[in-house]
Amino acid sequence: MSRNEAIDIKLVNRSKAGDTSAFRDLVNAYKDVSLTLACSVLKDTNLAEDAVQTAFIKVFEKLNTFRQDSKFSTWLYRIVIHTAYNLLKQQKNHVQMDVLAGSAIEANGKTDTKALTEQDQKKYIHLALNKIKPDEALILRLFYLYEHTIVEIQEVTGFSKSKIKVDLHRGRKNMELQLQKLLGNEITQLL
Amino acid sequence: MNEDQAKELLKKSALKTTANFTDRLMEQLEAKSAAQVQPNFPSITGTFVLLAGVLLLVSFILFYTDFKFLAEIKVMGNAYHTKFFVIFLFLVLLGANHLLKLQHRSKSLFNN
Repeated sequence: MSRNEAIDIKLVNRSKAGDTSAFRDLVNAYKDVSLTLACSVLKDTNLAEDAVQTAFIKVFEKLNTFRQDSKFSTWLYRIVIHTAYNLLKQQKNHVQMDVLAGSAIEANGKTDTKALTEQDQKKYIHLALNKIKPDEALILRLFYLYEHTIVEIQEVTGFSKSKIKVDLHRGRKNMELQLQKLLGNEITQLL
Repeated sequence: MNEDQAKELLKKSALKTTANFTDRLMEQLEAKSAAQVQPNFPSITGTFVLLAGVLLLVSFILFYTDFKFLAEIKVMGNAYHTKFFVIFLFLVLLGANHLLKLQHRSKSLFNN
């Protein structure tokens, strides 16, 4: 996750000068992180990918307004998260879709007594994260997966410190609860 | 679930974009910039023609006509030729200002 900020600045400056290959490099460097963050909010990989595409287009169009007083990644994540929350507002039926998808896997999970493969583990973790609140999933991923500090999370999300701390605690608890529901006793294979 | 367990689990929650994500995005960006509407301001040639026309008209009025009725308007008095000269100057300045503005706008547009 620790990416050289100087490289980003160079790529940003080249992109500003009209070098599209530099912008392509920036996209390649940040697309997966952006997708993961957007998916924490939207709970749907396809939708999240759309949100990230929209966010990158915004970034490209507003690159001239990036004053470099913060990290490029912070600026980018802020746009990605903002775009994802905007899209979430437009999605009226996301909860129903999620519940349906979740229950289908839930049934499969409880009947399967074999050891969980790495792929299965990822699937259940992803499902559990999809079942908790967007704010909690987002903060959990920023903190544990991308190792952001509370202050950095505050910069990226605009949430208060106390909310971040509370959501971290609740998110962990809720994620465990969801994994328990999905896997039953097999949760021990994960923890 | 403790902190370390949470960290361990969440390390497995990273997602990857589809293989053609970047290509699709770059195509969208190219299509967008191609579809961008050209700014709508009059061409420099058109402005020159218009300005020349106005100047010719004003010159004609100034030097080849003698609208006596203007002199009859009290506000204008006998000095209507002076007024025309002021109008002529005003139009020239207006035209020059318009051209400078056009030049400035086109420069800032191409710099972006």
